Amino acid sequence: MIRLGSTNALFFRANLALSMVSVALQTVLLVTVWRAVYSGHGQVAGINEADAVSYAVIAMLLWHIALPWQLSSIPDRVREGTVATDLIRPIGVVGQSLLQAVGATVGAIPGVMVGLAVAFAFGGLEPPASTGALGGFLLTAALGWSIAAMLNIAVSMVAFWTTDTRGPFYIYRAVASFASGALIPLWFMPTWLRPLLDALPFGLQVFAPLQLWHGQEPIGRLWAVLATQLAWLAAAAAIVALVSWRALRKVVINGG
Amino acid sequence: MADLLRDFRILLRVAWLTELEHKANFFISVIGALAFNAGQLLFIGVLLNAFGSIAGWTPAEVMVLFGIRMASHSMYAFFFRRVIDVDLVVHTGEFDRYLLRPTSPFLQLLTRRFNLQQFGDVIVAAAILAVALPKASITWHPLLALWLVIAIGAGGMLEGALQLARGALAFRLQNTQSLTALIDTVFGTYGNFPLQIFGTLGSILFTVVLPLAFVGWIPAAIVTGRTDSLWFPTWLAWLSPAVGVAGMAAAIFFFTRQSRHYSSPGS
Amino acid sequence: MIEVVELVKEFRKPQPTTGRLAGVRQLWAPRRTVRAVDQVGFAVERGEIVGYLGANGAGKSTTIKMLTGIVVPTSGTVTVNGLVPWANRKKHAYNIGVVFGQKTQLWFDLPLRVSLETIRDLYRIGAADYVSRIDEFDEVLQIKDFMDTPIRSLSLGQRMRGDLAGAMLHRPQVLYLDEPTVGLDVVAKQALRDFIAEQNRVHSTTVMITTHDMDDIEQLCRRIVLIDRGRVVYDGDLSSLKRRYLPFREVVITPGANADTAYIGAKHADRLENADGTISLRFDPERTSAAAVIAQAASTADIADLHVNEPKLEDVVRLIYAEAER
Ligand SMILES: Nc1ncnc2c1ncn2[C@@H]1O[C@H](COP(=O)(O)OP(=O)(O)O)[C@@H](O)[C@H]1O
Ligand SMILES: [Mg+2]
Repeated sequence: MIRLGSTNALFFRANLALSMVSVALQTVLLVTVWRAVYSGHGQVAGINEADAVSYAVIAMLLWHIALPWQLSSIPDRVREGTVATDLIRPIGVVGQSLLQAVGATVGAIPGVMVGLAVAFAFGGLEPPASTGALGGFLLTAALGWSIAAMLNIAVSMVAFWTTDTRGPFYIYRAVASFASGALIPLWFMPTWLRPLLDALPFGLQVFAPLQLWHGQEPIGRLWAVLATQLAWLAAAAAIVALVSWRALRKVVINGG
Repeated sequence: MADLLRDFRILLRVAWLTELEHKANFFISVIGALAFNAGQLLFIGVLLNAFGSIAGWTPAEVMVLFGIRMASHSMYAFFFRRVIDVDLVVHTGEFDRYLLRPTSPFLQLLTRRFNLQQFGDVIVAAAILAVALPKASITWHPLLALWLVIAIGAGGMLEGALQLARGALAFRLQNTQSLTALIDTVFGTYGNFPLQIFGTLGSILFTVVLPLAFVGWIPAAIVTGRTDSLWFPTWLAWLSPAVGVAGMAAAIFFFTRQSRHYSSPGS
Repeated sequence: MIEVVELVKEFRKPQPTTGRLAGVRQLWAPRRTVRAVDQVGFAVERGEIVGYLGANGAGKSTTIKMLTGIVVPTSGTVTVNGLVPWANRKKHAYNIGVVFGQKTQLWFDLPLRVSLETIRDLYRIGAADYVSRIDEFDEVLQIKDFMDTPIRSLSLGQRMRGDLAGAMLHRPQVLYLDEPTVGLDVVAKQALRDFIAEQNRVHSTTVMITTHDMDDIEQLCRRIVLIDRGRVVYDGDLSSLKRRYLPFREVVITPGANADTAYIGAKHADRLENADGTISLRFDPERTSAAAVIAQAASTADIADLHVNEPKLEDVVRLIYAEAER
């Protein structure tokens, strides 16, 4: 099933090549834009140019993995009507979707490599502050990815209730991209917005891991971040369980 | 042409009736579009807030650029957004039906749904322009206003042309959807910057290779009188809307040619 | 009306890979060419009803898609009423009606009425014509019963009737049907056949139909074109098809109680003893007659019952399909 996910991502070679080109292009654009925005400014919000550029690149790559173009295969399977049989399989729709998310991430690795290489070539990558910082980054980034994968599945289950999923997906994408710090580091956000952003799980997916990378201490340090992430992961799993239970009932009532 | 307009009206009616079948969805979509644009507005807002001016343009000038970009994007979204459905239409075989009817398949593609939800885009664009235009010091002239309207329309056509050309690949290649996302992201994110920020080489690339310049930068430079930022003479900038129109014509031609490779799934 | 010459369609598909890292290796998989339709040629006159038969994957749908202008041929020519379908798409659209059993041509979320009105407008059908045609269609298809139901909520039988009405509304000269009766109940099937036969009779509509339902063929088609792996293997009328593939007929005899059956069996007839105690005598009608076979049997033993089996198209087709499988 993992293979299935990566096969889907890899199967279409055009898409693989395109996504590599796309990541490379975005990396170049990010590096250029942030350098240009910074020109003439030493530090903004306590962050210097090199850190901001490096942040932007890694954040984009994290986001590339965490929020793929296709949130999950559930909408497709609902449309094709195969989901009714999937629901009763032992591994279940959620399990399959999760494994596919893993597969898709594996499939996205070539793109991430290309992005890192391009950023490195442009001198846009800063190393992590310390070995401990790198460890913290990897740990929190992995947990952040899990939260994102869960939320993606939860949101994609909207497809059980509506045929046109674009609206809800749009909202989710917009809010998540903005609030995660994938577009702009949360350092630059106006202070009145920060409490709202901190109350959402998205900052834990991109901003918090990157703070650790840059040797900054997120609120309450590493352990607090991990604890919050685990809490959000549990919450997201509970949402998925609840939604899929409702969805199952819905499919059963409608006869698939 | 009159025939085509009549068919457009007929198809629009079905699209509208289809949309009414999905009322709940309609509101969610409007909110979705609003949220998406609010996200972009925040992006620019936060940057301007943190950094002041960008590449020598004042915040007001950048906001005019952003407003124009949004406006041309809403033109695109309203008329041409369904071109991103080519993959779906090809893979489900819905395209069969377009080829069997006595009207343009392209027109049928555009009208497969009614894009009223894109009112979200229109609202945001109008609001931004209403705030930003008075703040930027602009010497208005009726012809300038007319030119701006045309440029906005042509910008929408250009974005549509790129997405349509991308969609036309679906007739031959299995999956090029990530390109849709790329175009969306690049236009939505980098189209909002005064392109001299990318250096001369970058701004040439964004004019000639990936024509971002036409959806915001060039019209904004003309309107705000910042043509000093352009890398080419001002008189050329005045002619820039022709690019959007020509691009759309070329994309439709390409789409029609590629549609001959349609292999129609199912038996 | 329809002229097809040396029609070929090839599809290119990636070769499936198996084994270790198949997913990755698939990326470099060579592409192979599948010839779905191979040098097909035939001509159909105005007013004919042609059954286009063949096993699954024989290339029927692909042919229909080329005739309707959906798919562009790899080589060869098609003209329908003097037009090349894919090149003169718009003009050609007025000449043809198409029904696919698998997918509807109507607007899925909207009532049938809206679909029919939209077709009326797109084809510029006059209001009076529209009303009279709907009335005419309703007599056989009974579409007025579900005019206000969205297509997605229609039963399959209703949907097919709606699709047929939509395809015929502009009174095309040619009607193509690709497996229109799959999954329908007997009543709906009959309504469809009656409608097709009537349109053909009253308006001389040329009809080309693919189907696996032999009753469709027996009731509608005077002519059959049979294809196998993309090639035409038979083109002619139904009875010669039967003669060619089932060259024998059969008399089945139920012997009376205590009858001595040892001598039953005429010259030129093969004798088969069935498990239920009946005896089948197969004979070639060209060489001997049913009467002669029956007379011989009656003169040698006591017979309780007998009947003559006419060749069934179904058997013919089963035979041919079985051949195709091999
Ligand atoms: N869109 C397509 N792409 C690739 N191969 C196709 C396509 N359509 C049909 N084929 C192949 O062409 C052959 C003929 O298919 P088809 O015409 O649908 O057969 P039939 O309708 O007689 O069952 C089959 O081998 C099928 O796999
Ligand atoms: Mg078929």
